[in-house]
Amino acid sequence: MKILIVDDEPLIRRSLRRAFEAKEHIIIEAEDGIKGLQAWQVSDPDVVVLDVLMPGLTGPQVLKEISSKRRAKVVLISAYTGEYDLKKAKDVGADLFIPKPFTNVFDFVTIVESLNS
Amino acid sequence: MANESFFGLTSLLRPKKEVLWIGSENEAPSQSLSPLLSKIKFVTFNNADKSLSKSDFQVLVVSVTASTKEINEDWADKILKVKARDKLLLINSKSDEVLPWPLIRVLNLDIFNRVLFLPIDEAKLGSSLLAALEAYKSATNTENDNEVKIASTKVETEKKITRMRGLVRYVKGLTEVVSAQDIMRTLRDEIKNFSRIKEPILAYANNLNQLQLMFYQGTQIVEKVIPGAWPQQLRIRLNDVKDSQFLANIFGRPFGKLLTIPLNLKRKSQQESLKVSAVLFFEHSLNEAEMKDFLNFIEDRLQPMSITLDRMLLEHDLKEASLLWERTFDGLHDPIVIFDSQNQIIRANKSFNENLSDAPADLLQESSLVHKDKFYHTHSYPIQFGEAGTATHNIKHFIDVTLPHKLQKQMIQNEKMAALGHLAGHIAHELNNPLTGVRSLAQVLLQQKWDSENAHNDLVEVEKAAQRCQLIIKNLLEFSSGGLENQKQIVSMNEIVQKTLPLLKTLISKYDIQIHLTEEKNSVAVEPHLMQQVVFNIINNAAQAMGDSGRLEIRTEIVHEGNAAVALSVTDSGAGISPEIKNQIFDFFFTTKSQGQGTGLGLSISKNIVDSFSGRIDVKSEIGKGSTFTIILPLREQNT
Repeated sequence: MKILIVDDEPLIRRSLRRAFEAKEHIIIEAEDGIKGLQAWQVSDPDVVVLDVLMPGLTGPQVLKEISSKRRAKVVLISAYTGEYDLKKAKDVGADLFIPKPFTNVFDFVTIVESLNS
Repeated sequence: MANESFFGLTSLLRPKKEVLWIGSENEAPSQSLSPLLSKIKFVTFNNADKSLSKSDFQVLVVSVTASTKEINEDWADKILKVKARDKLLLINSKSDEVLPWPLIRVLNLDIFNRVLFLPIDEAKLGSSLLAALEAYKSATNTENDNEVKIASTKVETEKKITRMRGLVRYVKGLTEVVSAQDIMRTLRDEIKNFSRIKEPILAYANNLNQLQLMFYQGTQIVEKVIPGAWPQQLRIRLNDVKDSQFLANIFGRPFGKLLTIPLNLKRKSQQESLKVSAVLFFEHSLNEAEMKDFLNFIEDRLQPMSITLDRMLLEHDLKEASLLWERTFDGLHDPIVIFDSQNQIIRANKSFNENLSDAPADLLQESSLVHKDKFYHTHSYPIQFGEAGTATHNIKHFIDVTLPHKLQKQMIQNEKMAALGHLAGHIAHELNNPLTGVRSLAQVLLQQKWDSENAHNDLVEVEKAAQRCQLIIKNLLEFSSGGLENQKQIVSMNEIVQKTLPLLKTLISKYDIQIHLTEEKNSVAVEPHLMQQVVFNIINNAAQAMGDSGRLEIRTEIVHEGNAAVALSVTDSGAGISPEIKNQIFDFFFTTKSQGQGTGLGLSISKNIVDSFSGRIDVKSEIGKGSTFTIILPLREQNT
């Protein structure tokens, strides 16, 4: 799968890349919402992992820009669990919401993989 | 004083005046009045109507006995219509006889401009009238010869001397008077020779609408406050109907013949509008001559009596004012003290004596002070007595600000805690991202094959450490945002203790440790990590209270206080907690430990946590022997 990871925290991007690559997925990274939007349009990923709070555009704002044109499944991730839950995430157009921190990164990988199967 | 102004009789003597006399059959004026009879037309009650309707006389005399049934309201109406210049009512009564109500009601109608009481035992009306006329004649007769004059002068002089002696004795007596009641007693003693004068009634004004009445009940003097308007006329009255009515209303019995003497005192009870400030009433049955004597007698005594009464009342007012001031001073909640110019205490109120009397003198001069756990702000008010140009005294008002002070302290602490919670939440969030990275990367690396066993094991430790950090952050976030109830689990208290003790191993190994864990099930509903933090704090505190050696006892048990509860008690043999600070130990940032040893948060956070799990922490302590902290939580059934 081609997975786009949009998160401003390098360590999150790196750990997700390492975990997904270990399972032989292709990873594209973007460090903020604007770059994430560009990368999305250019690379046409299967899955987009989108952080909520980012400089430039927030995750939900990026989702709004793409709107119905998208093909990719979207996983919204956030450390501010109080603000978003699965229902709210689905309201703004995401397919899944996963709160940070993850207890096991490979569980995360498995969940994302299951989205496209 | 007793002169024609009191009696209407002289009008009878004026020539060419028509007089209509209405009386009982047997009261017809006697023949000895013949010179006057030509002026008088006598009719009985039964046939008076015709005469009354003629209305061509100037004087109307109605003569009745005190027990009359002949005169009533109907009669009053007839008499009211008569146009006579003078209307005279003669009441023939025995001495001490009280008037019946019908008669008093007629009197109240105020239709007679003269009311004359005649003693009945002086017999027939006619002879009484004659005596009155004779007296009048002799008073106006100037043709007395010299001898008579001299003789009478001698007698007069002796009378005068006796009179003066009596008066001097009375004035002397007054100097020993100490109360208004004494004045009453002296007055009664003075008038006891006048057998037809009853005990005096003395009244003085509290104000326009309140009278203080003093009267005799047997030998006792009774005082009574009479509310409402009271007679304010300045003139001396004899048999005034309104006065009789006033007293009748108060005493609930009719008052007949009455002498009313208003007194004008200097003291007017702060009421300048008062015309009269005291009144003296005498109920009497005196005849005209006796009344003249009595009036002379009492007139001499009025002034000294007024002066004495004035003095008594002024003293009374002064005492009242002083008492009022003292009560006010002592009633004030804050301590107040008056200093002289040398800073010596002149007066102090009750609150000062109770709260600050043992405070050091120099402390009292400060702008604020703390004494016996109370905080005061001091306000100073210099005052000036007498004619000195500068302040002679200084009033210090110590405003008790203990409560505001405490509330302010608490508020600051609450704000500190809120800020701390906010900061902790913020830091926790910031740490979460890198920590997730660290843990995830460790997990990724652990999936790989490692040649060195150490490297793999190290990665396991890194992953575990990251996990623990995540948990701490989670707890911190939950603690700073509340919502602990949702994280509750049913766990055994024994288990919590057993999990916590290893963390404290190095700290408590130097003490003699005794652990008694109950064998009963002691499950509680708590968030296990937070509860562990509490147990950690309590044991840590106990250890720090003991220093390098001591005995530490940790005990769990089931207690029954209404519902079954789980208790965990931690007992140390440390210094103990003094009673003064016992209430403060759960306060935020309160600590007895030296800088760097403690934050002053441990116990307050512990209390918050235990509170949120519907529990409490009890403290027992004895100075020099040690303390016991007991955590008590409701017992829960273990879920399977």
